[in-house]
This record gives sequence, C-alpha cells and structure tokens, in this order.
Amino acid sequence: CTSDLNKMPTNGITNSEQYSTVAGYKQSLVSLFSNLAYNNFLRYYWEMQEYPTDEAVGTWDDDGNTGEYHKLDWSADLTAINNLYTVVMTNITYCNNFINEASDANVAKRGFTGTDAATIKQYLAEAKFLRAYFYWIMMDEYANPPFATEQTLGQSNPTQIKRDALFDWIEAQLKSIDTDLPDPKTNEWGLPDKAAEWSLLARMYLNASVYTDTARYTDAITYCNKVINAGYSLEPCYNWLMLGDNYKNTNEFIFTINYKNSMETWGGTNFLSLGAAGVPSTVNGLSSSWGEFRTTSALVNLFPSTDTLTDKRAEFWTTGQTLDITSISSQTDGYSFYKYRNVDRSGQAIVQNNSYGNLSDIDFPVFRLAEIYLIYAEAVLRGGSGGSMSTALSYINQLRGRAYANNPQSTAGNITLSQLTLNFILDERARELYWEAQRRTDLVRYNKLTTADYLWPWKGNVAAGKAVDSKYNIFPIPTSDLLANPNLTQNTGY
Amino acid sequence: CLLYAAPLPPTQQNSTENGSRKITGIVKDEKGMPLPGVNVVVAGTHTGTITDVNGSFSLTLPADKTALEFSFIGYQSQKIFAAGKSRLNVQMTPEARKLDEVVVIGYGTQKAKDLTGAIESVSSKDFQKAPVANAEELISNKISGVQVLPSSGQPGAGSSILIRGGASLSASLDPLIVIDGMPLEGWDSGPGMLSQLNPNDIATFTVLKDASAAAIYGSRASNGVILITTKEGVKGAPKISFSENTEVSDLRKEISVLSATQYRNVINNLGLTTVTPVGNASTDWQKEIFQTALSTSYNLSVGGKVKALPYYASTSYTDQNGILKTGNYKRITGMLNLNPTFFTDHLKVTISVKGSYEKQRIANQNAIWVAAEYDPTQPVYTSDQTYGGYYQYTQYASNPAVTISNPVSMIDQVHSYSSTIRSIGNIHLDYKVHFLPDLHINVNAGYDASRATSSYWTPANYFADNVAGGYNNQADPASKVFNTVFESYANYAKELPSLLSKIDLTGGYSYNNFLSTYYYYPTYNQAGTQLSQYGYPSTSGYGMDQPSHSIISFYGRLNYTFDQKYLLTASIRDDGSSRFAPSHRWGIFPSAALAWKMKDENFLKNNRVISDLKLRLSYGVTGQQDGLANYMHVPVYTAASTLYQYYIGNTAYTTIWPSVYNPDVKWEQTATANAGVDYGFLEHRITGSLDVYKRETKDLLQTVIVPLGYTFSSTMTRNIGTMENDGVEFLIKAVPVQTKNFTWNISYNFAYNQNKITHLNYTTDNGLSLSSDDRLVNTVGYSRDTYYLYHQVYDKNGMPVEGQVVDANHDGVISASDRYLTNKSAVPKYLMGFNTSFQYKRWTLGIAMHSDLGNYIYYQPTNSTIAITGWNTSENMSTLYYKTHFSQSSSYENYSDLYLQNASFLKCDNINLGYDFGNIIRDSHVSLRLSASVQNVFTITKFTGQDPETNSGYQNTYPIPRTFSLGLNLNF
Repeated sequence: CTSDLNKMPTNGITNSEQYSTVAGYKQSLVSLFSNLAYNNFLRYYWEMQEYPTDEAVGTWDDDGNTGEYHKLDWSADLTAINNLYTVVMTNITYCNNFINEASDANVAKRGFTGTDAATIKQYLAEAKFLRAYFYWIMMDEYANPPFATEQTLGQSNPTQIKRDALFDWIEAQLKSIDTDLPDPKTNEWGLPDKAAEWSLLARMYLNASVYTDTARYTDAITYCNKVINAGYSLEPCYNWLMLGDNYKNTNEFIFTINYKNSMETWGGTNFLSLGAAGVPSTVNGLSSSWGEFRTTSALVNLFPSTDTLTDKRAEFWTTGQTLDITSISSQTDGYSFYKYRNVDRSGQAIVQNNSYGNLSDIDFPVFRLAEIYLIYAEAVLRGGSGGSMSTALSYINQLRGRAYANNPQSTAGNITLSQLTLNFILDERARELYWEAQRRTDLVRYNKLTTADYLWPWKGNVAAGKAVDSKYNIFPIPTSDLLANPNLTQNTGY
Repeated sequence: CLLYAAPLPPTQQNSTENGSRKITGIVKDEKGMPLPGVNVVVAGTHTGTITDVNGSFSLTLPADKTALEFSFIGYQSQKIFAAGKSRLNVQMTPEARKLDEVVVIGYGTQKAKDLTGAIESVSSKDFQKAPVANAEELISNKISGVQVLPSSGQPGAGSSILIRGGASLSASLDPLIVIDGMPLEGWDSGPGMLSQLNPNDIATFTVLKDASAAAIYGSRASNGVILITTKEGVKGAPKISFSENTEVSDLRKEISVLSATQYRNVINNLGLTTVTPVGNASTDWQKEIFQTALSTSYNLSVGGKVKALPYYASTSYTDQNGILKTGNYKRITGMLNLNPTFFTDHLKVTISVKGSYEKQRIANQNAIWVAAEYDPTQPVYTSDQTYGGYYQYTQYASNPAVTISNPVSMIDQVHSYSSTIRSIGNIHLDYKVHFLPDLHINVNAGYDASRATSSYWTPANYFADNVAGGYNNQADPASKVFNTVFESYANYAKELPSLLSKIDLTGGYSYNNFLSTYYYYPTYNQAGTQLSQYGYPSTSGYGMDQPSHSIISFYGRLNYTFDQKYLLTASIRDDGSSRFAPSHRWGIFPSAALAWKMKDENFLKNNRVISDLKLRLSYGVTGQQDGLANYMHVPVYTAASTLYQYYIGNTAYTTIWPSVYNPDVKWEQTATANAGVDYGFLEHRITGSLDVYKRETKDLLQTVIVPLGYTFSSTMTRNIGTMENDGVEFLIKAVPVQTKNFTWNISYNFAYNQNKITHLNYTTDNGLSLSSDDRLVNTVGYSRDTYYLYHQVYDKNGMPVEGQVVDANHDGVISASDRYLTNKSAVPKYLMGFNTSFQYKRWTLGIAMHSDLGNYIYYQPTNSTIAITGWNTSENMSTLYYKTHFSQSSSYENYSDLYLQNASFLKCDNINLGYDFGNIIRDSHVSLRLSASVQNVFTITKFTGQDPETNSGYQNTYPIPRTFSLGLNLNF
C-alpha cells in the first residue's frame, strides 16, 4: 500500500514522452530559440552594448541600475551585470539539455533512423549554433565565464574557461556543425543556416585579437566571402530594416530573432521602439512612448545632418529634445532615433492582436549583410589577406549608396579609397549599425571604450567625458555566481 | 475528596419498598462555601440533579445503584459510594492545576502527571478572555516558547505560530496542527490556516514542544505539534450558550510622512522643480484610505446528552470590517460533535463535522505604501471624470505603469473578492476488545475539503488599467482541496502489579493524501476582449493544475511506568513521502524520554512546601518536508502559456521547459535533547516548569543560489547545512491571593532561544549565496536571518553622510565585500508573556502582555529620501528626511546600517473587564456575563515604524489595528 508515493505532476510530461517524436524534438528546439525573444535577453544585451558607449543614455536606472553602465564605473554587485549573465548562462543550460537529448546515442536508443535521425541531427547542429552564439556573448562581455556543457549539466559545478580557450572551443564547435546545418537561405525564418554560422565566425575572427591576442583577419575575410557569395544582397531602403514587416528583408537578413505582437514581452524590439525618447505613438506605430533612451552629441556629430535629407540613416528624433545632455535622467536631453517602428513599409501601424497596443512585430537581425560588408572592409584594412581594398570600397559604397539614395548601386554617397580608413569604418559602423547592440564591442576593438582616445559626453560620469580604467573593457563575474561557484575567480581589476 | 459528615444512624434511613432510597446532601467548594450548579448523577445512569443556590441536592438512589457522581466545571469529578448513607456532604476539589488532567497526546491521552515530554496544554478556562477572531489567538502569550505572530491587520488574516523559534531555515516554520485527530498540514499551512474555525468551539490546545512528545508525528514534527480538541457534549440537561460581540477597530499609528505644508516648505527651501508641480491641496492620504471599522460576531452553541449520545453543536457568524476601507470579511461556521458509545462502552465513536463559509472583499493593500508616498499637495478628486473623478498623474496616462495611482482610486476601484467553503470531518472508532479489554483498536478516517472562488475586476476608467480597458477575471471555482486521512492503531495497556510495572503500547499505520486543484481562467477587459488565456498575470500553459502528495507512516510507542515514579517513553515512526525520490523516500524518527516523579519519593512525600516535583529528560529526532515542492525529484517538461509562443516563419510553437529537479533532496532532520522540571509549591499555589533544550537540525532544506550552468535556474532546493537552537523556557503560575471574594492570578513565561548556523555544505561560510534576501543572510556562526550591511558614514556632528558607506576593506571600491555581518538578526532572542487576572466577587479584570527582545527590523521607508529626483512622479517623503536631509537615493544606501533598528518591544495585548450577573431570571439557569476589552492597547518600543512585531525583518504592510470591544454572554 505504498505505491501511492509514486506521483507525477498533472501538467508535466517526461523527457521520454517529449522526445518520442521528431515534432517533440522540434518543439524543444524552437523553445531554445524563443529564449532569444523572451526573458529580456535582447533588452539586457542591448543595454550592456549601448549604454556604456556614445550611442545611448537611459532616463531610468532601469533593469538593475543600468545607469551605472554609462558612468563606466560598475562593480561586480551591479544587478544589471548579473541580469544578462544569468539569462545567457541559463539559455546555455537549456541548450545543453537539448544537446544531451539529441545525442546520437539517445536518438538511436529512441529508435529514430533514416530521415528522422538526419532531421534530429540538423536540430542538434542548430542548438549547438545557438549555444555557440550565447558563449560568444559570454566571451565578449565577461571574458572568462563558467563553462557548462552537456557533460556537466546536473553533474558538477562548471569550471571557469579562459577567454582564449573559449575562443578555440566556439570556433571548433561552429566548424563541427557546418556540414549538418542547412545551406544558406534554405532554413526556416528564425532558424540558423550555414551563413549564420559563417557570420558568427567572421565576427569572432574580426575581434580575435581582443579575445586571444592573435589576429585572425584572413579568416574573417574567408568567412565574409562565404556569406557574401551565398547570394545575399542589401535591401534597397535603410528605413525598411527595422519595421514591423521586416520579415520581408530576406535578401539582407541572415539570422533573426522573431517577434509577433501576440508575444507578450517588453524586453524585445518593442523596448527599442517604445524606449526611444520623444518618438510619439503616431510614429512608432505603438500605443505609447516611454521616454527612456537618447543618444549623445558624439553620435549625432558622425552624421552630415540631423535629418534624413542627406544620409537616410540619420533617423534622429529632435522634436522636444535638446542636442546636449545636461542631466542624464532628463528624458528630453539628447536626441533619439525613430529607427525601430512597428509599421509596415507603407507606414501603416501593424494591427495589434493584444490589449496593450504596444507589442512588436519587428524582427531583430542578429546578423545582416551590411555588417558582413563592414567586417570584410575592416579585416582588409587591418591586413587580412584573401580580399582586396577595391572590393572593400565597393561594399562600403553600396552601404552608402543605399544611405544616400535608397539604392545600393548609387554613387551618391561614395567615398574614395583614401577615405577608407579604420577610423572611417568605425564611424560608418556607428552610422549603419547604431542601436543594434554592436557599439561596445566595436569601441573595445578600437581601444576607444575606456581610453582618452575618444571621449563622449558623460563618459566616466563627467559632462565632457574622461578616460576610465581599462578594466571596464570587460565586465566582472557577478558576485552572486562568484559566491555560488567556488570554481570561479574574479576578472582582473574587480 | 473529603467526606466530612458521619453517616446517620440506620434507623433514620428513608427507604422505600423497592429498595430505592432518598439521599440528600450539600456540596461545598474547597473553601467550605456552598457550590450551586453541581451535577449530581447516579453512577451508571442518566438520572441526576443539580445543586441549588445553597449547594443542596436531593435525589433517589435506586436499589441496585451504590454511587453518585459529582461534577462541576473547574473541579475534579468524583464518584462517591453511598452504601448505607442517606446524607452526603461533599467537598469538591478544584481541578488540580493539571495534575490529574488528562492531556491529549499523539494517538492517545495521558495524565498530565505521567507526561515525560515538554508538553503544555491550555484549556478553555485559561484562554485569552478578550474576544478573538482567530483560534490561534486564544493561546497567544500563554505558553513559553510559543510565538503567535499576527501576520497582517487584514480581517480574517490570522497569525502564524512559531514554537521554539522554528527548526528550519526556509522549508517551513509552521507547526503541525491536528484538530480532533485530523492533521491539517499540506494545504494553506501557516497564517490563516485556523481562520475557518470558530474559536468558541475549541476546548483545548496542547503544544508538543520537545522531540519525545512530537516524534510520534515523525516527519512533520520538527516545528512542534499543536493538538486541538473541540468541545463535546456533557451529561445533564442541554446547556445553551449565546454570545455576541461588537468591536471597533482603528489604525494605531500612521506611517510618518510630511504634511502638505511641510512638503511645500521642503520643496521651496531646496528650490526644486518637482516632476509634478506642487499643488494647493492638503491631503492626508493615509486618512483617506483608513477608517474606523465596526465588526460584530454572534455565537450559539448547545451541548448535552440524549440518552447515551453526548452531543455538541454550534454555529457562529462574524462580520468584520477592515481598517483599510472596503475590506470586509464574513464567516459562518457550524459544528457538530457526537460521542456515542455502544456495547456497554466497548465501542466509543466520535463523529466530528465542522463547516465554514467565508466571503470577503480584499482591500487593495498596495494603497498603503502608495498613500505614504503620494504627493500630499494634490487633491483626492477632480472635476475631470476621465478616470472616475479621481485625481491622477495624467501625464503618464499612456503608460501608467511608470507612475503610481491615486491611493483612494486604488481602494475604491479595485474589486477583489474571494469566498471559501470548507468542511473538516472525521469519524473515530475506539473499540475495547471484548475478550481482551486491555486492548483498544482505533480507526480514524477523515477529510478536509474546500472550494474557493475569486473575483477580480477594475473598471475601464481605473487609471492604472485604463490602457487595457479594465480587468475582469472570474474564477469559480478557483481552487478545490480534498485531503484525506486514514489511520488505524492499537493500544495495549496492562498493569503488572507483581513487577510494580505498567506498560502501555501503541502501534499504528497512517495514510495521508493531499490533493489540490487549481483552475485558471481568461482575463478580459471591460469591453469583453480577452486579455490573457489563463489569468493575469499568466505564465501557465494550462487551464488547471492538480498537485498532490502523500505520506504513509508506521509508528509505535511504549510507555513504561515502574513503581509509579519512574516513567519511560519510547517511540518510533517510519515515514514515506511522495515528495522524495525512492532512494530518499523513507525516514525513521525515534525518540526516548525518562521522567522521575520525585514528589512521590518518601523523602518528599510529606513535604508541605513542595507539592509537586518531576524531572524529565528526552531525546528524539523529528523531520520536515513541508514547504517542498511536490515533484521536485521528477524531471518533467511543462508548456508555457500561448502568450510565450515563438514563431519560426509563420508557424507558432508552444514552448516547453524542463523543470529544475533534484533527486538528491532528502528529509530535514532535527535532533532535540530536552531536560525539564515541573514544580509545584504551597499546595499548588505556585506551579510551573523549567526546560532547557538543545536542538540540531541537519540537512536543512533551502532554496539556494546554485552555480549557473548547473541546472535550469540559478536557484534550487537543496539540503544545505546544519543549524542549532539552544534555549531555556520558564513558566510560573501563581495565585498570590485567594479569598472568598477576591482572587488574583499571575502567570509569567520566559523563553530564550539562541539560533546558530553551524555548517553549510555547498559554499564558504560567508553565507551570501544562501541569502533569500540581500540584507538578510544565513552564515556559519551566526543566527539565521542576520543582517549583512554597510557601515553608514557619519559626519562629525553625527549626521549620516548621503550616499557614503564605509569602504571596509580599503580597496577603493564599494562592493558587497565591504558589508559586515551585524550579528543582529530579525529573530528575537528573548520572548516573554505575562498574564494576570483579578476576580472580585462578580467582577473580573484581566491584563495580557508580551515582549520580544533582541529582534531587529530594517526600516527604510521607501520614500526615506527626498524623492524629488524620483522617477516619473513626485513622492512624499518620510519625516526621516529631517534627520538625514538626504536628497537622492543611492544603491549603497539600500544596504546601509543607518536603517537597522532595534525592534524590541513590550506590547499590551489586551485589557478586559467582565461582570457576571449570575442568574438573571429567578428560578432559572439563565446567566449573563458582560465584558469590555481593548486589544493591542499600547506598545513600548524604540522602533520608529508602525509595529515592531514581525519575524520577517521588515514591518508588516497592513498594520494591526487597535480594537475596542463589548461582549455579552448568555448561558442557559
């Protein structure tokens, strides 16, 4: 009479039930990718990549005192630093779980063969890509994160991995899944293909000297070429990129985080649309505006004007905003951008299938062709082989043609070979990729995040800007995990 | 008992022909005064009488009967043989302060004088005299080492009970509560668990404090066990009791914030521009949301015996208004107890059914802190009707989540209701085996069933919900509970005179099943558009959930008495719980205790000063599994709500998530050693007990931070360490004056408990990773819930310096490592209770007080700093501003020891005055008592917040009101 002690939850199913079908594997795989859209992942990541730079300041000390980011004066106690760390490590853990379940042994044990087994093998590769992407973020932000794999899951406390070793591991992981990932542009929208893997490799190789002290520009060019040759092209209009119907941008977007306004989160692209200070609901396509982030004059100064008459990327919102920032916490100090809008290409607001009226349909491009062009050009300029200056110039001028004339083939914005310098690339990246969660990585690579080489308003918490300690090029391991995991030691300087 | 009248000569015997005879007599009390109203019954029959005002009685004794039984509440019943007597003068002895009292223990009863464990029992005559709304308050401050902590001033909220400071870190601190043999654990344990009971129905509370007493309940006994019995019918004519009580409650103390004038002055003096311009109104927002509340309750009970069937039935009605406006709580209860016996007392049957219906409107408690923060220069109402006529910060109308709402609108426009219907019932059979009367076989079967509904709505013009168009969520039913218990045990008691021994053996089996069902419903706006699929907020992908767990147990106990002076108790329980993986499922919980009745030794037997002396020693192990999730050892996937679907292309996928599971979780175990002495002096004018104990809890269950990457969450429930509690408890009761017209009673109890964490399994002993709260940490060498804070920096005038805390490790950076362990904890070290009562003729006056010492509260009013720099709103300030002059909040300040306050206090719980009119109708038994009382009379403390009484480290949101009440009692 003790069998009553074996109980199962009403709403739970066991892993053997979940993974009894290919559809079950698919559902579990998609759940992993949904982590990109939920749990404030994008919001935390964006804040970490933008607030410490010239591109954004925040009105509220939001999401764990993100105000400290802009001061470049944070400690391991900062909740915001822990937020991204926790979300990303947790996402890695979910990936590890799926990678276990999709292992060859488990697939064979559950009786899958032939096409079914091959499909699951593709899912396994896609999960490994996602895990590699999350580990790249850990490497970029925290340098020496805990290293949790499918082997340590539920078995032992993760050990710490050094930045250069993690670089090698991610590189090997990505290369190992190359054959199992679908060819470029053949996978479903929102799942990665070979081009996504190549793009991540290209981005990593561009920053390799930051991570490993060894330059890998030639490799960066190699993988840019692979992507570019896979048939991608720029969309004709820059202002189509971040709209509610940007799922149409299949020519340019390589891998996206998908949103629909039936998905309830305020930590995705609606945060980017609502958060831009001053932009009214008639423009952002949503029911309200939050007055949260603005940009510094340093970024404004990179554009020929504060309207789109010359450079159509200069989508500044200036109405009611001042150029200069007197108080960081004043939502009217500093211009903002109306880059993210939940409207379609014709300007119509997307119909909201929710009661809030402020959820988003804007997909977030994790990789898009424009960045690959910029990586290519920078890698060539930094001495990588396998590419040419003239090709680099043509790629950059395509970006500028689109920026100036809504036509990548236009010569309207063309620059000359002599103008194509490393500093130009950095500025061009700002003009092209601003508010796309790239800036901190770029400034670190150019050694401008902490040095006196480049100052912007309120850098180091002074109005004129000042240099700060170089330790702020990476983030500390959050105190809570440092205490929870005896295998971890703190990053230098913290 | 004493017989002090000699029998009369036989010649005067008044016999009749059938052999029956008349017997007369007088019954007197212990002072020799006539005692009216005493039941006099012919033993073995149902015929009898009651003594008159002179204490006289007269009845006829049938020829075949030889004895009379005398009984009266508060006195020992006695059976007197009347062979050959026609006149009996009887002296009643007051129920000898526990000694002969029968005390309920787990699975049986025992005479108080034969107890071996630390057990304290409070019966109805010793309950709090002031009217109480919740049963647990009946024993507040009556028992040493037992804290009855009011959880909230919300009507119907109830209190949590803490015995010896609790044995756990975070699993649960609630004792197991057993009502008439029905364990109530498993659902809604903790505050409010007893709220559906009518306090008037309760006969006794028995608290099993040490392991030997509690170990028979094994795995659920670590925090102590409280056994509650309800009233039973007694023989004699039906006794009807009616009472009515009217209460008026009010807020004792507001949160101290600036008045409108002070606010305007501060803003002007600082020359600041506020986010919302300063207005011209003068609003005391706290006055606007609080009220003086009227409550009433009625209680009617009848008890008696119809032939062989004792019965007790009652009903009650309570209607309580909260001091927070709109809050209201109504409760109807009913109870029936039947105690028939069959087969010439061989089979005793107890049937008990309790029922209750509660219905309440829950006032929006968030309005309390908002009222303290809302700008006092703004009016309550405006002419603009967009938001129902309430003033609001309309500049944030498109996103009201970034600001706060008018507190009056939060009270008026948020409509939250709930109702619960609940029944607890059981049938208990006690069969004395015909061919072996020393053997009793018991069967107990019972249920605890309830059904709850909830309703929540806000109008479309409610500012906070205006964007969504209001909310409407109706849940009927919201939840159902069906808990069952089945127990069977045998008891064999045998006297072995040749060995001077008595043995008493009990062994049994118990099965408990706990089943809850929760239902989730869509939320709509007021236009009828569905806002979410399953409630709001919703994270569930399911329309319902049905968690369940069971416990199966085997247990045994031996009581052995040698020479009536040396007592031994040994017990063992083997518990299996569905909450653990098969490898950790079963736990064994043994105990043993020795007692020596020194008073019965020859050297003390005739001592006139010492009237009782008993030494006790015990050791035992108890367990804990409450507070654990039901399926923590099972790896499962659950689906998320459709709100969290993900799209691949245009295909929506419902997402699924593996849950955190831990197959290694095992029982929390507490080993307790207890030594005690029970004493009585001067013919029991002074009685009491002294206990010392040492308690070690190992494999403490706590949800702790785990290294990221280990499992699917940053937290997980684990067995994390070891904790000790050492304590002393002292109880003294005295009757300093006892004369014909005046009696004075005093009781005082004292408890000291030192809590210390001695070992942690997974981390270094800095303890931070175990914190459930940033400020309260659990660290080796310190008490649980020790504050971990920065040293505040003060200037030379002793003023705190804004935003500055001490860089304790001199590394130039303020980080968590600069905080220090304050050695100050949220948990009190000393508890005291004090009760006194005076009885003068028909007047009674009672006073009850209690005191907690050595407890600390982190009291940082959310608006402790001038919040002009606040976010999207202008906030009023705490008057603390005048002491700090802080102008903006800093993140360090939230951990500054500036805000840590000693919250030791002395509380006067109640003062009550009663007058007993006695019989108010000539020649009847209708008696009347009137009483008046004040509860929560005053508090003496240095704490500057509203109420220092809490164990959480932070003051309760909803303050406990002060209550004045008038009561009426009619007995027929």
